[in-house]
Amino acid sequence: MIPPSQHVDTLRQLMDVAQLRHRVISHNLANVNTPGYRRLDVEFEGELARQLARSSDGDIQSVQPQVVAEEGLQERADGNNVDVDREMGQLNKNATLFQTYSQLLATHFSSMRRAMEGP
Amino acid sequence: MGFGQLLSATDIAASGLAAERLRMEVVANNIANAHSTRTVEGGPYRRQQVVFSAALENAIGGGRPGLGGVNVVGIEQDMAPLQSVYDPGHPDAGPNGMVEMPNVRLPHEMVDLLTASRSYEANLKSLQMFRQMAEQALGLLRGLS
Repeated sequence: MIPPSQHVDTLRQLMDVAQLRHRVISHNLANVNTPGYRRLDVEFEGELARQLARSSDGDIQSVQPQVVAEEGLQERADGNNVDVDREMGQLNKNATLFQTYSQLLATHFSSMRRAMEGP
Repeated sequence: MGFGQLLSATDIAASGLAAERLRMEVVANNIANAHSTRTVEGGPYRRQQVVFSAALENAIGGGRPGLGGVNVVGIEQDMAPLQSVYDPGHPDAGPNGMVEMPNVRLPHEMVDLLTASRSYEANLKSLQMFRQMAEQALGLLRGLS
């Protein structure tokens, strides 16, 4: 369980990561016809899960997203391993996650405001 | 979400849009000149192709590889052999009746056109989705007022 005081910071960080991932996927899409280009990806959720497994109230802010080149994918004759359909799927998934985080944040703010306003 | 980064996501998608549009223009030019036997450099037209390279600016801010989208390095001539066609009535025919025609092959150009337009759509979609995300983030601000 993440302490409530960390809610906003955690969601902010998750939104930051989603935003970074969107840039990385956009970069992949822009380079879909660049010979020899290797697809980039963001590593974050795995490290976050490991950090949470170590200690339930661990320092989540210390987990930083890493941009890494992805190997082992099927590549075309020109050495490029970007698959447009896969990227579009990732883009959709990422946008949905971003929407979820921002909705959670909005709900959090509105409940805080209700508490401050009183009955 | 930093505003600089906000612009950069748009810039990345825009670089892809510009690059793919240029590719479509070059393809259109190739198709238009599929039968041009005279050019300013002399000789038949040679097929042109766009050369792309990933724009990876080094570590702007915090050691992360910069995500700069795509760069157009240049437009180069395809040095593949020209096609010889027998057409003795052609003004540029040689003594043996053979005419050197451009090395443009229509099926190649059509495939190039299709992949370029599909990539253009993908970049556009990414731009639209980013706009939605930015609007959601702004919605949070609206909720606080």
